[in-house]
Amino acid sequence: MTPSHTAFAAILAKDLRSELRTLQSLPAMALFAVTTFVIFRFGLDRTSLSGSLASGVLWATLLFAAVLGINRLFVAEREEGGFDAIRLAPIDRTVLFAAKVAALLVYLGTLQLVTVPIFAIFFLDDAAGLGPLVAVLLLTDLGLAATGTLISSMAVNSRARPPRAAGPAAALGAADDRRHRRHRAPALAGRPLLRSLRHLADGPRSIRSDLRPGRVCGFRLPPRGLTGRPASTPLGACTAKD
Amino acid sequence: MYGKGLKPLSIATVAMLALTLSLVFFYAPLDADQGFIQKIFYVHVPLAITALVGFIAGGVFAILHLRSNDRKWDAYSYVAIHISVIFGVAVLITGAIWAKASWGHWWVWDEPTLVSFLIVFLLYATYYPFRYAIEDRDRQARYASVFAVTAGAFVPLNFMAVRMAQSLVHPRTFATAEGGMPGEMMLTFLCSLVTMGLLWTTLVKFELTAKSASGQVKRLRRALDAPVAGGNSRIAPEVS
Amino acid sequence: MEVLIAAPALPLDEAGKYVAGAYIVFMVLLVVYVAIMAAKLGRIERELREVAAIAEERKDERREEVNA
Repeated sequence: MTPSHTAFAAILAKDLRSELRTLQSLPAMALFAVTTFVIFRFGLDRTSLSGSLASGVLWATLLFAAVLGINRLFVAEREEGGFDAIRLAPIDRTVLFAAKVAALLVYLGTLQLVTVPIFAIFFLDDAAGLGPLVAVLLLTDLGLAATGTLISSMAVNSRARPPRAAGPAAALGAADDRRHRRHRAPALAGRPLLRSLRHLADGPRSIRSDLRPGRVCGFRLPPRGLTGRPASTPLGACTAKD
Repeated sequence: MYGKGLKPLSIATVAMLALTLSLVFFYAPLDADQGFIQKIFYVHVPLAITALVGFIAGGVFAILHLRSNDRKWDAYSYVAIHISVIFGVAVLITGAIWAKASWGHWWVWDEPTLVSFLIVFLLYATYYPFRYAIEDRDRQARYASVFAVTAGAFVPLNFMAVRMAQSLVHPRTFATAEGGMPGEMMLTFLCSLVTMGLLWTTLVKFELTAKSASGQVKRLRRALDAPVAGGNSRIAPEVS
Repeated sequence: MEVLIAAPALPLDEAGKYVAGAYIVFMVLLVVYVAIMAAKLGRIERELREVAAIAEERKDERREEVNA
């Protein structure tokens, strides 16, 4: 049986490698953050910020940018059958959760590494307050990663619109979400939650001997139609009988 | 086929770059009020002009794509915008360094040219997530071309609006291309402009050649019925 | 036509750092681009090698079929 930490490392490595190759989450998050800073400059009609105003601008921007990353967290799993791969592999389901939390932590950390200096350059007159801020950011990232992954896993399973703040985040996220939703299923709050929790909490199911426990990644893509769109029932989707 | 003129073009670029750097550091006189700092002007402003012209070129290629429906123009447009965005990053960083040296702050919101360039840059930075959001390749190419055309039309408008507002807001604090510039500075500036233009063209051609090469490999694979390797980009247009 | 060298606004050694920084940023971006393109080139070469191997296999198979 694959030890949990190997599986954790494998899933985390796959996520980070795929993000490095496709660059779908991080640039959008960073771009959103910088654009929001520019909007705040013109909206508040100030060229420098301090105190609670600076703090408010920074946190609001970071949180909304984090929402973008959270939206896209499980998309690859749903589109390419990662959930099935996890279910087939003889590992503890919580490994997927932990790996996703770690991945989101890396994304948030990288985002803050890029956007906080830009915020300081744009608005702060002196960077003295940034030292303690780093510690706060680390703690926030941890909390945000854990709760964000939980919400994201439930949202991707229910195929309903995840709770999302109105505003610019919605525009970027909506274009994203619209292309993922194939069927408009009514959001049944109870069933998706139970389903997700069961997936996460189940121990490894006994597998048949002919199914080789193997890498979690590298699940085959479903056949693509002529228009390049995946077939109408993606392999990775949770079907109703789950 | 794309790589055909690449060697002479890159040699010309290197030669011009060497010439420009020598002119900047050995020939151009020192500015009266900014001194040595003003030398950043020779790298910052030509990069900015080239980036903006590159954005407009991306729009022109996009128009050609929409008219002819030939995907090759979409690839040209994508690569033109790509290289111009990279040049834009260089413009913003060198501009920040110049601002720090001249006025003591890394970023000045009061400088309209820099802020308007930032806005244009952010606009074109959304080109990629925009392309990524559309799955169907044909529609993606068409919509991206529409975006490139609209944004390309915005660039000169933005530039002119900033110029007209400047006379109302701030006098220009450093010597620029329009007047009061001695011949040596103008010559150096023009050489630098030509260098950046050549560099942009070389990089665009380089990128197109690389895309074409991987497109040919895919074509070979398909002809041999070999399995297609993974990692296809969802947004980069294929050139073949 | 003398734009002059009265006194540089910043002492020369300090100003030099900023100018050097700007030019270095330009060079670094250029070299990073070259590095990324070099990686792409490596990938193309690897794929071509694979495809060449497949083509040679096919050729051998066809020769065996003809001989057999």
